[in-house]
This record gives sequence, structure tokens and C-alpha cells, in this order.
Amino acid sequence: MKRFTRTLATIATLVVAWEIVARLFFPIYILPPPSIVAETLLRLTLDGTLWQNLRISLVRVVAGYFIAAALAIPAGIAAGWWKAIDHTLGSVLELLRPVPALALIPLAIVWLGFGEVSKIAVIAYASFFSIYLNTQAGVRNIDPLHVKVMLIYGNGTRDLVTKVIIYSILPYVFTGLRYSAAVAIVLLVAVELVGAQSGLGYFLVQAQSFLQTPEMFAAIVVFGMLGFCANLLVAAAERWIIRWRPEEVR
Amino acid sequence: MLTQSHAMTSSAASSICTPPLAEVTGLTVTYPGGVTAIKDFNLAVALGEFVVILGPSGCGKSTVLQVVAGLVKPSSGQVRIGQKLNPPPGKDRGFVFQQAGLLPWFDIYTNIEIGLRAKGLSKKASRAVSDRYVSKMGLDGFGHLYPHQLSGGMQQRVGIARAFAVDPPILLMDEPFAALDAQSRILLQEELIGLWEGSGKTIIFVTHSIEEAVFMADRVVVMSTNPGTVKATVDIDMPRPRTEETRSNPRARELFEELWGMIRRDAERAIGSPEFKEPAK
Repeated sequence: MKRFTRTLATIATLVVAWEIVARLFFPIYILPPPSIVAETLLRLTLDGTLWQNLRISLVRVVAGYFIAAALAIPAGIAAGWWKAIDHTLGSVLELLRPVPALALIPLAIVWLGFGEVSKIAVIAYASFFSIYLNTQAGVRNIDPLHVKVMLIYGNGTRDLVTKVIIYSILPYVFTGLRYSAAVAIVLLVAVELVGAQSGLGYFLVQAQSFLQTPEMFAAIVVFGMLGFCANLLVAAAERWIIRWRPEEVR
Repeated sequence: MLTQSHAMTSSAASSICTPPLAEVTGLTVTYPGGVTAIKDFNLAVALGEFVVILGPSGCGKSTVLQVVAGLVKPSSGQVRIGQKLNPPPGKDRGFVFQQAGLLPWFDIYTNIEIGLRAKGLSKKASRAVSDRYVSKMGLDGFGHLYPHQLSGGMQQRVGIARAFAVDPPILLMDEPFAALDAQSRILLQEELIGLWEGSGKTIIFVTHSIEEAVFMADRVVVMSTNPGTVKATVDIDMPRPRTEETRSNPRARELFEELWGMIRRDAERAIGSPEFKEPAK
């Protein structure tokens, strides 16, 4: 409770200071005070502009993220289980991994066009790695004792997968999922800044070209909330799915 | 019935009436890298017998048990369980590990049912069995908890229940109480003996604790280190049922001294040579 109060007090102080500094020293197109930003945010929400753009952005980021998870989890399991896959697929991915995904956006546009495909592809590509690597680590860290127990008690491969492997890797998979959620949002902003005709990032660029700084701030705030909520959602899913863990390691 | 047992006797080439239920002959285990963990190990275990394999750390006693379980393949020699030679893990043998080895994501019931479900029992039938063992092991009210919510001693009770629940004729126990505190250890020894006496089950129990061996065994097989092989076999001629009083029996003291005399030298060597470690389990 003490902590909560302090956090709240700090934020309130900062907002008040920003309000005063902005009103005294800056024109609105450089630094709008928080009251104006809030007002703009409210207006954009009420007239539907915000939701219209946010919806498009959400489809892109969610699609890219889930495609990444759907590919990375099975690939990670395979690479963790079979050395041969790690040595082949794994080394190709190791070569690609150092290339910043942002650098691939122009290429993705050339190959896949200005439409949704190139955007979703770039987000999926960037989100893939962390999920893949963590899943693989999860398979590597399966407790051999658990495998022995399954063998001793006459369980076949199917039971080994459904009763040990899946559960063992879940905490690792979620570490990857949490990290990738942040990556996906960074890439979302990037693809929408560079070659988009819609979406929250596009709205941000438009606002900039008309020097509508309060609108820019509004978009930035929404992106921030998006990141915050994404992390919250993944963490909640993790807590709900991995219920068996002791409190202190959560 | 008689002819049947005769046929078995002749095939096992044994002089006693019933052939040993489990037999290890000329077992040698060499690990990749050339370390010979076990060399020419022989053991015959009769039906219903409680045999303890006793030895200092690093003598390979756990390896013997894992070979009998079918988890480790012999380099040479063989294991016979009933009529089967070098069988893979099967429902004729239960196993209790040093770490309870419970699956942390399943509750206590489900953990006990792991072997039952694999045997093809329905969910309902398995629950009836696990429920019985939960009561038997004094775990009433804990059935729906997760393993991490239980103490080490409780967890190992579940490990034992899991092995007994499958109702295998043979139970293999690999230092099941070694990770417990001294008091839980005494209590669980007594519980296990209580569970076993009158059950007709055959137990092969590995330990480095001489007291534990004397308290529980019909027969103690003493192993020597490097490479591990049988040094001696000592019959534990103390009355059953074994209870708290057994521990203060003067004969227990004598047997302790006798066994300690046999392994002391090896134990000293095990302490003195840090580079020699028991092969990974």
C-alpha cells in the first residue's frame, strides 16, 4: 500500500510539473500540457478516430504475434528434442537473428507489397526468435527424473509428451512469449511509420505532418497502454495456465 | 501346480524349491569413457524377500538397481525377472527414487495414478486406488494439493504410494530416504516396513545407511567400491515384525558393527578420493 501511494504521488507530481512547465514555457505544438493531451485523447476516442486506427493496428500485431507463436513453439520443441534440427534449422536462425528486423521492413515491402501481408510478416518474423529459443531451452531443461518416472510406470511417447514435456516447457515458453509481446509492438510501430495507410502509427505520422502535437502525444500514450496491457495479458495467462508453481518463483 | 514349479526349477538350474524371482548374473556395467561401475555382480532374490544392497558412495549400487529396473543396459551379464531376460521397464517392477520425482504440475492423486492410468485403468478405478493409498500413507486431505505444498517426507510418501499402487510383485528402492531429515527418515522406515510386512512383495532396497539396512532387511548384500561388486552377504536374523524395539535389540548393534567393519575401508577411500564420483543417475 505504501508503495502504491508513493508511486501514485510520484506520477501526480510529474504530471503537475509537466502541466506548469508546458503552460509557462512552451507553445502547444512543441509541448502540449497533459490537460490538452487528455482532452485530445477524449475527443479522438469519442469521435471514433482512435478506435478505427487502433483496431487495424491490433489485428496486425495480434496476427503477427500468434503466427510467430504457432511456428516458434513446435520448431523450438523439435530443435530441443532432435539435435539434427538444431544443427540445421537452428544454425540458419542463428545467422538471421543478429539482423535487426527493422532493417528488413523495406525489403518486406518490396517482396510482399504495402498491404497487410508485409506488416504481419515482419512482426511475426521478429517475434519468432525469442519464443523459439526459449521453447528449445525448455525442452533441454526437462528433468530427466520425470522422464524416468514416466518410463518406469509404463507410459508411452504420447503420455510423455502430454504429461511431462508440455508442462515442463510452459514456463520457458511464457518467458519467450512475454519478451516477444514487447518486440511485436515495437515492430508494429515501425511498420506503420514506414509504409502504412492506416493504423495508429499512420495516425501518428499524419499528426506529425500537420504539426498536431497533442494528437501525436495521444497516439504515443495509446501505444504505451498497448504495451502495458500486452504484458499484463501474457502475465495473467501465464499465472492462469501455470497454476502448480510455488508462489515465490512466479 | 507342482509340475509347473518343477519345470521352472529345472530351467533356472536352482537347488531350492522355488527359483529366485529375480536374478542378476555376472553383471558388468561399463560407462562410455571406460569407467567400469559394476563388475561381475551376482544376486538372487527370492519371492517376498526384503534385500538391501549396502555400500559406500560410489560403489555403483544405484546402477545395479537401474539395470534391474531396465533403465540402464548391462555391458555384459544378465538380469532375469521371472521368465524374462533383461526386460525393459515394466509393470512387474515399481521404483522409488531418491528424490520423490513427483510431477509438479499434477496433484497428489494424479501423481499416484501415473502408473495406474498407464496400465489402462479408468479414471474412476484409478481414483479409488489412489484414494486408498492417500489414506494408507496418512495423506488424508492432501490429495488435491500440488507436490510443492508438501514436505519432503510427505512427498516421498507419495512416491512410495505411487509404487505400491501399481501393485507390482517387485519394488526397487534407490535410497528413498536419503534426502530426508533424520526424524522423517525413521518414521518412513517404519511406515515402509509396516506396508511391506504381509504384502508378499519383493523389495530390493539400496542404501548407504547401515542402520537402515539392519532395521529393514532379511538379507544385506554388501558391495565394495571400484569396481562395484558383491563383497559379502549377511543374513539379518532378527524377528519380525520389526518395530521401534528392533532398533534397541542388542543383535542390531552386533550386526551394525559387523557390517561397518566390512565397508569402513571402502567408505574411507570414497571420502579420500574426491575425483571418484558415483556415475550420474
